[in-house]
Amino acid sequence: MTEVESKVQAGKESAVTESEARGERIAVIDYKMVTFSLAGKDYAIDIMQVKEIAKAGRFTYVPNTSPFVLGVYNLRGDIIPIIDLRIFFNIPTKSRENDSLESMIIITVDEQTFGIVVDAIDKVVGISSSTIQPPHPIFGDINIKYIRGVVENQGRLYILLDVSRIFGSKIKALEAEKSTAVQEKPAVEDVPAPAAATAQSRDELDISFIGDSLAALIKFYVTPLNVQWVSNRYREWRDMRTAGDVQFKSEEDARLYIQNFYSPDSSAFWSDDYAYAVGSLLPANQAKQINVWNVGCGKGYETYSLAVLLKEKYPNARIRIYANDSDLLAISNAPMLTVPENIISPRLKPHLVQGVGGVWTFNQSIKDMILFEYHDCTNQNAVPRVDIILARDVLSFLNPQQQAAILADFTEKLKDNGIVLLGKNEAMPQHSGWLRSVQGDVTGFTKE
Amino acid sequence: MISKQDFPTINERAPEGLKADGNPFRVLVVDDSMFVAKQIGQILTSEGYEVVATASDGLDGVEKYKELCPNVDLVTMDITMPKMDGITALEQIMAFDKNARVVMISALGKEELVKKALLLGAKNYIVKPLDRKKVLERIGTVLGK
Amino acid sequence: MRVEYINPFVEAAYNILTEVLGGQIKRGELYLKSTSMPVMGVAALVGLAGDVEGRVIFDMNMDTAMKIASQMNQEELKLFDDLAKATITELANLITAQAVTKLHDLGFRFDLTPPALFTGENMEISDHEVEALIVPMETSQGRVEVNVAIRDRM
Repeated sequence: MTEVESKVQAGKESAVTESEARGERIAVIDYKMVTFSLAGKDYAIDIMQVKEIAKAGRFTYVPNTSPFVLGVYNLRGDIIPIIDLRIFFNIPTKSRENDSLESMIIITVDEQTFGIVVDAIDKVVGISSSTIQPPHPIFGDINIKYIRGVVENQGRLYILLDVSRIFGSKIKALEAEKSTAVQEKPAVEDVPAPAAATAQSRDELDISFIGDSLAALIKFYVTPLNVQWVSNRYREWRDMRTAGDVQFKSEEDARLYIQNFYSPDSSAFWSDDYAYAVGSLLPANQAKQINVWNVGCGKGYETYSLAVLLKEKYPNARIRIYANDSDLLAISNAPMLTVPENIISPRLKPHLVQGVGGVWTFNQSIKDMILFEYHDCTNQNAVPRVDIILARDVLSFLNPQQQAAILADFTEKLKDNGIVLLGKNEAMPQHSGWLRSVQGDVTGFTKE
Repeated sequence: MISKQDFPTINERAPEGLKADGNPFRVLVVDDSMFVAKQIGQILTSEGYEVVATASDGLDGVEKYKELCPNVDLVTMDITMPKMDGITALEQIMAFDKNARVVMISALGKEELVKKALLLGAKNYIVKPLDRKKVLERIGTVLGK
Repeated sequence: MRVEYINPFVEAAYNILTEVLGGQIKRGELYLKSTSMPVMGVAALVGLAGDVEGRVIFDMNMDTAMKIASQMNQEELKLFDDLAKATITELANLITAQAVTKLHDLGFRFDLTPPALFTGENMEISDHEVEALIVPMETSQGRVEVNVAIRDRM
């Protein structure tokens, strides 16, 4: 039991609080509350309504419920709904990391138990009920109906929530939602308008489930970066599959879905045509030193392909390519990648040397251009400012926060006249500060 | 009963650490690691060598050599040490006594370093981890056996 | 971390541990860590300089450290005294030095600084947002983690 949990227990039994022990002048302690924080503010709930405290992750998602219902949770055999107060009160929140443990207060209202997720649980505070002041709109971001009052204690101001009001009317709605899984607008009268789940079309719902499955099964995350492709693909997919069979049954299904997501020449040396297309997107550059950041280079096929094309496009510059991947096995062999004889084109030939046993590798000049690193791009990136960023089919396999962080890094590290090349079916979201230019299968993004 | 004296002394040999006159060779051990100094000390004393002094950095090593000279037959010198490293200490000892016999002991087997030490006058070079047989062999060679 | 730097450290750790500890040494899966590193109880830190900057940390708990020190001294040590500390420090030195020697042969100019030893409960070693490669090694005396953070001087 955590300290707070045991205090909740103890709080219900004893009547002495720390403040009394310290001899502060206070009237009789006749009210105890569990305090917690939500978006930086302090809140509290009557301890008599708090059943217990828990920390949990991975709620079971329940479809067709209001957005503030995160799902259900198995509390020692009792299946209870989990509410996110932050969403309920429309308080902007950082989006949740899928695997982090959430702090939860289990409360009981009218014999219904449920859990509410908060930012952090603080402690049990004992006060005299006479010190509870009536609510004033200025004290909260939330509808005054849900505030029982405000109380000050040891320099902190707590907004005391009236959980009966908040959840009383919702219970029936929640029960209905939980059992029938039929889309239904919850009782509206005294509920503020958090966007009540609007009736979604069957397709939208399916796409949303597919998105969740892609993330869970193969760590492909649907975000504005690739949502266009995911939606288009959905139509194909739906037609391919027999009715009702749209959802993934296995990892294999998920992989099938994204089969044609990948960019041309993935895990292969670039064809002359593809290289030409990339080359024509790159701007002219007279600089003496050109820096390139290749994120998720894998075994190095694209890195070497890019090196060859850059050497030809910018013959007088000193080119430095920082190539990294977090797959140790793949990148360990990159410095020694060999080229099969049958794909050596006249374009590639001048950059290759033949070694022992007739095996072809890239010459020292090309090799010196590239620094291969075993590195996780979600950790701090130590590359200098770059002219070109190559990140094909990488970002889609990072979760939304990671994607956002990397895109921010791109913005920071890319020189003003630099260009970013993403995967064939990835694109910078509209109105996010990027201009796009297209050449065949290749799209490049430059700063506005 | 047959006793030891009845057999010829083919298998007995004199401990390597002793000179022809029966006195032990005197060794100065220069190393900043208590563990390594102990290890070298144990290997040497088990073969009859005498460890006359230990120094824990290059500067101390040079001072002690100057004090002890000519009553020291060999110096074992670690390379990476604080205050003054082994290469610098070697230089100074060689400048002081061109006949000094210094054996470098290091964890670093870099070819350049080995060459440099030998050029500066070190008689031999041993790479750690220390192997008893190797240590005795190399030191023996230096002392002219 | 640059790909070419990885093997020398992995090999050096394996070779030295095998040579000085005897017994079976097993290498665990390598991985990257980014946040400040909690230390198991005893950490020997060797600095790297030259063409690169960085450090190598040898991390283990006190029990393992005592067993290793005892094994290397061929006698049972009861306290983590100066001799035991010098022994663990020397182990760190040996592994790092062998790795540096291998790297030197590959053309990379590294040097190492004399090691420092840290002991304590609930310690954390924080390098400012540095990514480190962790090479876990299982020995008969317990687990030793080789924690390498190297950055090329650009």
